[in-house]
Amino acid sequence: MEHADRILVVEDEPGITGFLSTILGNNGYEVEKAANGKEALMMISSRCPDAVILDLGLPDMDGQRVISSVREWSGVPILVVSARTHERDKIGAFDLGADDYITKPFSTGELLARVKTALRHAKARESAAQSAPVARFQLGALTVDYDRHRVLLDGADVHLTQIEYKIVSLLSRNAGRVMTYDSMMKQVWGPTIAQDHQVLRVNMANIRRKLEQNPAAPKYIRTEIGVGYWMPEEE
Amino acid sequence: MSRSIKGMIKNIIVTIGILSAVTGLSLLLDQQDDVSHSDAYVSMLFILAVLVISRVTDGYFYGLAASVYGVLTVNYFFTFPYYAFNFSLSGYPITMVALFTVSTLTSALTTRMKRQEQARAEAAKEKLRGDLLRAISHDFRTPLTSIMGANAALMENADALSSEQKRALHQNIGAEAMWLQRMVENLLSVTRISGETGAKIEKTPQVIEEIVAAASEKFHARFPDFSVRVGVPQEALLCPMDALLVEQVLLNLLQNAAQHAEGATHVEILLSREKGCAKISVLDDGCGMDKALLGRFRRDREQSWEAAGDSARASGIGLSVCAAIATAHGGSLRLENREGGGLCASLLLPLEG
Repeated sequence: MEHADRILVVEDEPGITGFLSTILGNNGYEVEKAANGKEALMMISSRCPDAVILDLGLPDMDGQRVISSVREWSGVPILVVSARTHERDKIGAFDLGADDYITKPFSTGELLARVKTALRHAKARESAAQSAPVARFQLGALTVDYDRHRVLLDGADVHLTQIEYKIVSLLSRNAGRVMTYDSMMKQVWGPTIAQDHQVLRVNMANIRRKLEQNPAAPKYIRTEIGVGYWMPEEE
Repeated sequence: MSRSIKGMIKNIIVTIGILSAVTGLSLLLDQQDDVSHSDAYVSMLFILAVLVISRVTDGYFYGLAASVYGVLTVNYFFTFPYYAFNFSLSGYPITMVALFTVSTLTSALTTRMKRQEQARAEAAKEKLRGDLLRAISHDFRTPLTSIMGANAALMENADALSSEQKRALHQNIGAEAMWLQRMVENLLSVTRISGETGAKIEKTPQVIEEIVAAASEKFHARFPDFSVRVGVPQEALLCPMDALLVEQVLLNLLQNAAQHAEGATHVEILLSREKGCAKISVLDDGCGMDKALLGRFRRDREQSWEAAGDSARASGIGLSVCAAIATAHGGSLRLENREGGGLCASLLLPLEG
């Protein structure tokens, strides 16, 4: 029998911890709890959870510091759950290596779905690391062919510029994760590019007009407002 | 500081520009007019120039400086003896007094108007703050009471309640919590308008369809039964804005349609360009907005939504926040009933600046 995934909930509010452990427990996860950052770091190294749900406002240290110290030695999925809604908090968390950012208040259904996604990612990453690099990415009618540098929609070639292809392939290789504007700019245009994101947004608008049926209801490339872009992965 | 320097440079440029134009024009007219009776309209032109300068610049200085310049120029170029000063002309003091008076009065009026505008903007902001504070202190009590009450009923009478009753109570808790969430989001928006950065918001160029997509997605998650259709132009509209605030406006308008427009089942969001502005319209097929309420919204937002019922007040506060966000962007919010029924709410945001 497969063992239950173990999830560490790092949160200092007993009310939130209480209901999180109830719903996670009812959905077949094994739940561990930590009430502050120090405890969290200790438990991540000793208990090796399969995913971490992390509140940013911890009593002893900022949650951002927990992310950065965990990322020094572990790739365990980290889902930030926070009342902070400002873009800079989200960008900070993603750039430090958080896998997801959920703002309070959230619905339990949403949280469960995102925990599941994060766990699936981690497993996919693990198996990908052991096998040969994938040659193509598939999402609905969209195919990204990495060998031939092509993007296909329903099997038909989509004519993208070189920059547009770079953006699509970057997002597809990181499917399921939010890529911040800054990190995308650096990876597509190089590290010396200016901080102005306008060129990225304009390129994105053009890509959406080539890929999406309705650019204002995108299926392939989604926006995290003020933070960056992400591509969903094939279910 | 840099702003006041910028203002000063603008004032100086405007003043010099207008004066040079008028002087040039007068000299040109003077040359064509060989009878050299130009002094009549030349004086009028300078009075006009002083009036305009006093109106468009800040404070008294530029208007007065223009008057001095006008008196001297008219004296030097356009009155006998030409190209020489003569301060002993009979009507001279009158011209001078007239020009100074025009300048002083206009500047005084302008300054007062600017102050009034500022006071009105301040009052609107104060009113919004007041509404929201009232919302916290008073309006939060109602949903909190029903949440606590429903919860107590569930805990204390768990065995006596039928499953249907239990579900109703749970639904009640959910609905009230959602109302609180909506209020909290709006409060957060207001702190972004008048937060650390002062009354200024941080604008970055955004592709509007991204904001529309995000708002309609959030809305769909909250009201899955409501159908949303989005129409975008072929050209991507880039517009400087605080993205989260504009998303909040759209979310408020969409939720108003879902919760307060009776009979509405369908909303449409349309994006277009209108005279230097990006226009985002949210159209529903509900009952439209009460004429009196609509008129009140248009007339003056200084009015409180106090008289309205609890739920209408919530939508009213939502609309006040929308209007405040629009104003903070230098844009506006327009509400009108559609001909075939339903409401059309449009947010206009300037594409430049």
